[in-house]
Amino acid sequence: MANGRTNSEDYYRPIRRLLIGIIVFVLILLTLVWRIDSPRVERFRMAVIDRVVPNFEWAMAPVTLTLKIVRDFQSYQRIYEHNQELRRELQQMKAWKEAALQLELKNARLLDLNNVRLDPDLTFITGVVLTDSGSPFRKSVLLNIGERDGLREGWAAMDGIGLVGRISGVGQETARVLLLTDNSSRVPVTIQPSGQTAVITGNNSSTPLIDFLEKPELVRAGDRVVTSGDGGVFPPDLLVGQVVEDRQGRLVVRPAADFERLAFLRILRSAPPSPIVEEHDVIIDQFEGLGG
Amino acid sequence: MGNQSGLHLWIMRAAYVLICCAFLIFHLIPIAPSATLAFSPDMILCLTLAWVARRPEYTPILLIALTGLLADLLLSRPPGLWAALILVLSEYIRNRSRRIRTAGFFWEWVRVSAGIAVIFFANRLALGVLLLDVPPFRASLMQYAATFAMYPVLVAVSSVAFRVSYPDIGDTQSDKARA
Repeated sequence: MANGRTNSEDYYRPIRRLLIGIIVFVLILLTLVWRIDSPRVERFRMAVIDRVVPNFEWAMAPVTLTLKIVRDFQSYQRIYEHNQELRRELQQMKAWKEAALQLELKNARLLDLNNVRLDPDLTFITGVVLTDSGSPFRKSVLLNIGERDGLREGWAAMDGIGLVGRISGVGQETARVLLLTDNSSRVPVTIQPSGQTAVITGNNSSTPLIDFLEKPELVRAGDRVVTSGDGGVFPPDLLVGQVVEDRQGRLVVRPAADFERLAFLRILRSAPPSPIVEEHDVIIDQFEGLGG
Repeated sequence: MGNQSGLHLWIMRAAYVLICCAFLIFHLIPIAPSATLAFSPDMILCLTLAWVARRPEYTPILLIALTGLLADLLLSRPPGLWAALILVLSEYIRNRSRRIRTAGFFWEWVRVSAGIAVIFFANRLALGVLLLDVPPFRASLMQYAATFAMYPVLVAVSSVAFRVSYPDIGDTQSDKARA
């Protein structure tokens, strides 16, 4: 009996080893392929997410609901404080509203004077956040809108106020938004009063760094940071946040978007920059344009 | 009897996949995207190792590979890398499961956590070689510590709730499956 078993094990082991070798090889090959031809594998990833995550929805809904109830309950406990706070804020807001109305009038008059037509391409689609990235090293969320709704890679995602990130993966019914705070996120920006351009580099903390700044001495804490539109990824003049100085004295951005509560995101439809097919065509076009 | 034990085997395999999916769902719930704490143990790894050490027949390699790959895809990690590392470590533990069983839990824990440390390091090395973003060392260390601390908890839970503990000596069912 014992002999028989060892015999069969001897027979079985090499096959097993071979099998493991093959699986590990395939997995590592997949990683390498992903590294070399990332878009194709990412498309596969989005297809898998597309298939799997909506199935998880039914399991997630009760948990999310419970969490919301708990959070609401906590907020009931502080309701009096909240009320006071809100009243104070309301007072301030009334003053702001007055100022905003006046500015709106002024703006309308100025636009009228200049005969400006606002860009009609800048419309948006709103999506609901399904899941977050789920790992401490990646900052991204998944939306419930996708190719079906005409989404494209690279479009800007905003919450009500500020820039949140960009679309970095589109499935049929889901899309991934890479947040500003992710390690691999880079956003070209302008820092407002001084008009300097810089790049905002995510570093997985809640306050991304400001990089490639030519004259840091011109920038102060409290300056507004807006997208510059360089590189054609984002439309220009979307609010990103405010400059603050962190403990080590580096300049960082505190995003205007509320990353704690990402529930609905607006995806701005930006028209793709027209691709340059053949170089001399463009030059000829330009000459013709100059001539005409 | 044989038929029933076969059914039981498949139920336990399904349980393994379901628990892994539950961990994934827990990871993916949008609680606070900004506050995805640094303290997040790799539960799937823990579970796999704990089950492989106790009942290797519940966690066939193909299942481990597929679950690992699914986790990689959903959690936006480099697809396949972590799955391959989990598979290699689980195979190391599987081949030593008899020795581990006689040595007692403390040594099992030591061995497993050393193995986890090795694959965490290998993962960082591979990310570096592939010129990808290597996560900050502190974050990796925190995750390692969390994973390492979570192991006994998962062992306890799976032995109580799922009766995944060392088979008795002469337990024909598991011996048969092992052979």
